[in-house]
Amino acid sequence: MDTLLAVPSAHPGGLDAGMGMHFGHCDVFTLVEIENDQVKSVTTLDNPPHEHGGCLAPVQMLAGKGVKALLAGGMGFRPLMAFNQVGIHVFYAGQLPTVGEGVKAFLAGQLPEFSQEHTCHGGN
Amino acid sequence: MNTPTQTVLLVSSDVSSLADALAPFKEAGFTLHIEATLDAALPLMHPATPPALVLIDARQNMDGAALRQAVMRVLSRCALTWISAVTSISAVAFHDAMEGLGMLPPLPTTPNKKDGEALLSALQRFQPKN
Repeated sequence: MDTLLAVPSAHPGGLDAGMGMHFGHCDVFTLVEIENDQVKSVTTLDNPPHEHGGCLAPVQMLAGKGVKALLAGGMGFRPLMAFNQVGIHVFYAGQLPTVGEGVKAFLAGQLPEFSQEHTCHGGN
Repeated sequence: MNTPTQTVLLVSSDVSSLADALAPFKEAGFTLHIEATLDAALPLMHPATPPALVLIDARQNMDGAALRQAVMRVLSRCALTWISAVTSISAVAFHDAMEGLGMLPPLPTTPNKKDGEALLSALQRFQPKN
């Protein structure tokens, strides 16, 4: 599998950082380039300032960087739909403590797709 | 990247009572498109060319739960648009009912030009800068 994976992270980001449990409010995104099911490179990207209704800013930013998959512990219905519509697959990783653990579970195919039931307000 | 069009899509069967609030959008160069029902409006929402704003008139028989369902139908089709509503729901109830949907502030049931200007200003904060 070759892909570019984004993981909402606590400062300073990287594989040892804590997961940012709500993508819109995370400190940084850790970007993990995956090639042949292996981690090829790890970089970080600052999260744009968040204000109410502004969850689309990181969606647009990550799509512009070529991200194809995202791990998240929480997000609203709107950004979930937006990620889906720009071609970024979102996986639920809310139970994992670090970015590295999340990436490991992703590579092992252990993460479920982030569904409407995982969204803030339960999506209903 | 999908860029919003300069279109306001109004879902209402009572357009005349909203004319004052919509005037600022016309003055700012937005094109207004009106449909009486959400069912009629949904096919006009394309993810590749999302309207800048979808304004849902929720004054008649639409409580917080019904409005939330309507907004979710819009987002399921076109999440890159911005959405507001004309509603009598209180500010607190609106905030609670719309959690996670990224709504713009609502308009009151008899909105005037200043209400429209405030909504336009909120929308423009999120529009791409050219």
